[in-house]
Amino acid sequence: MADAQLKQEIKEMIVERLFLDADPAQMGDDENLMENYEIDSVNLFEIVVGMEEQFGISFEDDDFSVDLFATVDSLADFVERKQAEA
Amino acid sequence: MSALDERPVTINSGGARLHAVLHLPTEPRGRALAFCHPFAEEKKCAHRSMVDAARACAEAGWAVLRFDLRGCGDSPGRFVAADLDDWRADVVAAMDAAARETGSERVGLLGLRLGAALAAQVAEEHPEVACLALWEPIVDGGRYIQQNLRRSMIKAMVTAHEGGEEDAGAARAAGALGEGTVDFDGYQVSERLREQIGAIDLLAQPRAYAGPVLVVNLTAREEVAGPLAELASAYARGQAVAVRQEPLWQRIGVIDASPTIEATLTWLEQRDD
Amino acid sequence: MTETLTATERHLFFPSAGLRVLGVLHTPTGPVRPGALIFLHGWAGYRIGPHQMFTKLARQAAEAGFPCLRFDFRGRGDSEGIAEQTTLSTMIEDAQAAVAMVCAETGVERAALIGDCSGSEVAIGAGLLDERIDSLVLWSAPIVAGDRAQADAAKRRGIYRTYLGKLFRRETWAKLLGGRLQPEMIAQALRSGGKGAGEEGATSDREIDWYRRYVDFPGEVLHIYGGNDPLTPSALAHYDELAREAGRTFDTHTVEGANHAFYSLGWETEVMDVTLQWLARRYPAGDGGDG
Repeated sequence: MADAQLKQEIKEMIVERLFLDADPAQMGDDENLMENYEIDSVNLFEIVVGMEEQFGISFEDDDFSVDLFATVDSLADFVERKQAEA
Repeated sequence: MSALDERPVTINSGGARLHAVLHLPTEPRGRALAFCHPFAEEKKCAHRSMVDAARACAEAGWAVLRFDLRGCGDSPGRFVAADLDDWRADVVAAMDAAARETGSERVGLLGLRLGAALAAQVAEEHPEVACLALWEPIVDGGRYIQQNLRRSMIKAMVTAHEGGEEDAGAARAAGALGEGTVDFDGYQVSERLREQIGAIDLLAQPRAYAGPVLVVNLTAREEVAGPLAELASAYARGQAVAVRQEPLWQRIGVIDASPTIEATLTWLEQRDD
Repeated sequence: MTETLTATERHLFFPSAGLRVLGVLHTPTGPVRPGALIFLHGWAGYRIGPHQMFTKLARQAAEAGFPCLRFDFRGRGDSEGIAEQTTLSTMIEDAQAAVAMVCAETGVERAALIGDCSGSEVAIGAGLLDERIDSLVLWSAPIVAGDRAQADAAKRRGIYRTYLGKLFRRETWAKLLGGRLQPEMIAQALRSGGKGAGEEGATSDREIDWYRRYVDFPGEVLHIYGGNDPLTPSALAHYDELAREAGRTFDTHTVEGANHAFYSLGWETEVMDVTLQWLARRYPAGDGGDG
């Protein structure tokens, strides 16, 4: 289970990079990002870049799947896994 | 609405007649800019913002020549045959045309994304460029190509998902291939062009261009991103500014580019005549 | 497509509602077919179309004998006008001005409107307004909703899926089939859960009887959709129902696997080939030409 601080940083990064009119503190850990926050393929790309820059991780080609971007929880689990591998 | 003095013109470059639109100021001050557009579909998203910027610059006394590189927009040629050497030659031809069409003695370059990188490269070989205004220049071409490949892959993945195809392998195959000609959102990018763009590294060497340079970072943050700040510092007269603006080369819909335009105009006003 | 073009291309301005619209006119140098093609870009695009599809197709079509016009709607591209004031209604006016200009300029008396996404809605809105328009080619046509901003916003939020689900409910179909299209009802469905945008001019869009514009259009229609566009199933079902209401059969083509903007070379080529072949049959060339 990824830690709360990491999830908060992810939420803030998403709100900032996508210029969302949303309060990161109000984003649910498990709410569907694509359906609730105007996330399309362009925005997904912004999230990828944001994750790499902010958390110093690298997406491999095999990492790309829709499930990964489903929720803040799934993104946070991914970051933790990548940081542990590094 | 005030009458706009703008007209379509053509520019001769390498045997091609490039499409361009010339925006003329009501009170000419002998200064002009050639405006270099971004890569592939970024150009489409940014188009109206560039038109708005050109109109604002013309109102402020700067003539602006917006032009389409070979194989892009309304210019002749096929995108798959595009070559950065040709594109840099197009930028030079645009500057010459701007000088000729407007009688301006001083012509600067304004560029967005890859257009800004091309402008920066041209200025290294052409010290007579009056000034450089670089909106979100591509500093690391290799990273930019990788991002485009990734974006193609994401798009393919989302498309497959929306069609109920959950086989990510199919999505990857439909997306970036990495070899030969690659499909970036419907733009056929040759291996040669990918290599040329990938070789762009604006920080690799000290910047020779000695004129005034503005680097604009479109961001939600208050501080300029590292690579862009570093680029501005690499110039003798470089300045970087962070502008609160969404990436207008990616956004779909009506975009208000005034923060970026105003920051640029403020800087232009401070330039010596 | 060859590098050597037989057609000539020139940029020109023409007026629409007192403002200046920029277009590119492609004029064949050889025999001219009896129909002109007018390209209508989407909401966020401009005259080159998605990944230059309009530029490429217009050049091919002009080589095949079609006079073609690509232009920027008011408030878009290089045209005059305020971006926030662009509505489907203003775009329809521009399309009418474009048809009049091309016919006057070329002497051709028939016209086809080729619309991409919102451009398709414009084509539907304009088709009935000028009897010279006798063909519509509609790429990725959404179900026309009067409130443009809310339709766009809802689509971006993914609420479109919810809207599509509502469309398949029996009571929704009863409303659609029992009378004219009710844009207010659709706007209501889209509005739920979303931030409204309330653009100026959108009221005029809601006042258009979109149902009648489509059902009463006397010409031929070709719909092209991407097989993986989430919009496609409901849109196809919707227009199929309207065509049945009209007692007509319209042509449709689905590009397998493609998304909304047909963003790969293979998909793009298929869209352009199908479009051009269909138009060549609608406007056969003179002596010695292919039908």
